Amino acid sequence: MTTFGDYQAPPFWRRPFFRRSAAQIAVVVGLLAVLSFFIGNASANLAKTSTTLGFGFIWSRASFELGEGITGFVAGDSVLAAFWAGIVNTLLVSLASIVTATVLGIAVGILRLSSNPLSRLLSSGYIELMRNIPLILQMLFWYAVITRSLPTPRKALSPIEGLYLTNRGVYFSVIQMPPSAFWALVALSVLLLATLAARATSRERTGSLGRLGDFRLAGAAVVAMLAVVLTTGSVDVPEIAGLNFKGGASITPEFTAVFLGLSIFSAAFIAENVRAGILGVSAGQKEAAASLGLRDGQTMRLVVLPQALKISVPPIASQYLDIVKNSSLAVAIAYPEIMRVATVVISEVGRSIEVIAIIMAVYLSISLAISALMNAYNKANLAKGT
Amino acid sequence: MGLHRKMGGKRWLASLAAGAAILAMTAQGASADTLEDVQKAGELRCGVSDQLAGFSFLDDKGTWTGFDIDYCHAFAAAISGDAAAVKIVPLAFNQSFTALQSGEVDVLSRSVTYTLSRDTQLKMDFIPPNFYTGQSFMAHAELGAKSVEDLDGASVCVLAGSVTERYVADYFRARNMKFTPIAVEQEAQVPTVYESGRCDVMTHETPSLAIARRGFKDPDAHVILPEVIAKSYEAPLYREGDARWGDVIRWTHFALVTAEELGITRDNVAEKLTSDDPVVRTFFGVDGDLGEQMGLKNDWVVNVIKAVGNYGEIYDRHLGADSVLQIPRGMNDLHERGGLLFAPSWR
Repeated sequence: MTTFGDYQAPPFWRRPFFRRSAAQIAVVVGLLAVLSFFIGNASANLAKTSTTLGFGFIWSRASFELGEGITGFVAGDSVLAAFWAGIVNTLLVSLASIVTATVLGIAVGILRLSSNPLSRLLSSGYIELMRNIPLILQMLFWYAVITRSLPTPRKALSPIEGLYLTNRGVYFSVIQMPPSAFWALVALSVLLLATLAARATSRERTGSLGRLGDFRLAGAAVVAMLAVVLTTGSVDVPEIAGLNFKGGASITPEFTAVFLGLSIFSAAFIAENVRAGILGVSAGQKEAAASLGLRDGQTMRLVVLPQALKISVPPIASQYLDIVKNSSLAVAIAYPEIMRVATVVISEVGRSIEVIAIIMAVYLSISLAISALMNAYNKANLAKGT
Repeated sequence: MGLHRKMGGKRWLASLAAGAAILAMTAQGASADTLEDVQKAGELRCGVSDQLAGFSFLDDKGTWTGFDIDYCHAFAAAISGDAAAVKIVPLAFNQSFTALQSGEVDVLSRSVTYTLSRDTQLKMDFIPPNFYTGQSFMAHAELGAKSVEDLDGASVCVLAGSVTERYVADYFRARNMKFTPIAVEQEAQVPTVYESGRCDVMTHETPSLAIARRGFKDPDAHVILPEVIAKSYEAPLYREGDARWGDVIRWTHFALVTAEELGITRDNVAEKLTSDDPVVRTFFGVDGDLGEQMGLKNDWVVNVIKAVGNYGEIYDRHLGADSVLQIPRGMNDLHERGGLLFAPSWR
């Protein structure tokens, strides 16, 4: 008989297959146990207070005002409309902050690597100061600066005609026009953009003659736009009426404080991401560009930044997610974003579990959308090759 | 080897079952009998305002003091005989309902306005109001506003999530007037934001306006407008569906009012104990066993009065004549003196 000497198969718990599956099963079971504990606990407590879950309350009337918003929400509309107004305010301040933080962050990130010692010092000072002070303090700081240093509407500062700086907000003139004229403008600007885009992509192929035709079309679009504005538009100037300004448009101190806080705070982090990206591009690339005779600015714009962005985009994307989530701190300075709506609805109807589920779903949707966009952008960027 | 696997499988199952059993045990929430829970814990968890002069604030010695705090001590004295057996839990307005619903506190003793919508929607029960007031406006004097009618277009500083926020919305909507709410999260921040000039007016319960104005740099630069736009009757509250616990909270308040009606104070409670008056004897639990039937000690009322005095003493100490605030009793006087405070009889 053939034997294998003393060999014995290892006990089952030392086999890789068992170890791997056991670990995975344990994690899944653990997660389920934790989940069922929380669900069980919540439902036991709900049963104790004879509470049932339900989302019917979103159709009830909201008996509060939000103050600012572009959705036209007023007290007496549904709670759903209030949530929508809050979501739009969250998106508004987040998007504005994302754009500003990106521009500011890239500039500061590049300056930090500059050969000029003063700009290096200033940008690293900015980064260290801003990212080491809690965001909420920065927001409160801007809020205090705006509300305490600017005058009341009746003593408003007016550096140029039609612009008023007050502690209730910045009021400025806007051009008002009928909706038909507005849509005509939209159509004309689409036309303008389309011709410009066509010109940019077909520059090499069509030569100067083709470009000339495009310019005529673009010029005609601009003239038409001006004509529409001049014939139908009227200037809506803010005027003091009673306690406050009427007419024109305004930006509130709350929005400004949240916007400044988020932009300036996040720009410091984005600057570091950009710096990491630039340092991640090998020095040989710069030297090669220099030996081809490119100037510093050209090297940065054409060679370094496109490669640096590939490294920086994923961490910048998570900064964007942070901006959206951090906008919830705005509730501390009375900016009516979604958390403000949530807290007032909770204290009105007491549906805290449902309301928190709603805001979690909202933040999750916004974050996933941003993630998806940034991933798509990154993929497209990577596909371009180096 | 086969044996190994079999045993291992069983052991694995057994430990899973044990784990599940532990989870199942801990998953059972606290019992529905708050009185028993509090007596077992030896401590009452009493939710209060995070900062409201006269009602609930930290004094210069770092102890919580105020009208609402004395109610916490009264409840504790009723339950255990020890007025100090209480944990004061300061809560921002927005947290307080959730804290009570989730069992983080046993009772809320803070300025919460008693309304039908709260009573039905929030799964909490109120006892009869222990503080009667209304809502008014305070304006910067330089605006020249003489009444609420002058406030169209005003920016209004208001406590976020409070009933005052809804009352002001209702009031302006009914009169076709516009306003911009500046909803401030922390109660103590509302006057600060108003004073900074961000708002034209601030709205709150009338005594709170007076208290806030006292703290301003220039109190004379602010006027309280004459209108009281809504009544605000404030009451302690407890979780719905716990009648025994509700009785303790409700009758502690009634005991404070009854003591004032009977002329019983912290100073004379010892001598009143020997009274021959059957009403007083029943009130103190010298006769009968009403206290024990409630799940308390028979002499619980004595402990309450010894700890905090009667309603009038609490009021005067924190809000009225003996306090810096000097708010007249007004509606908060006994029924027999033309106020709104009442208490049913003991038997």
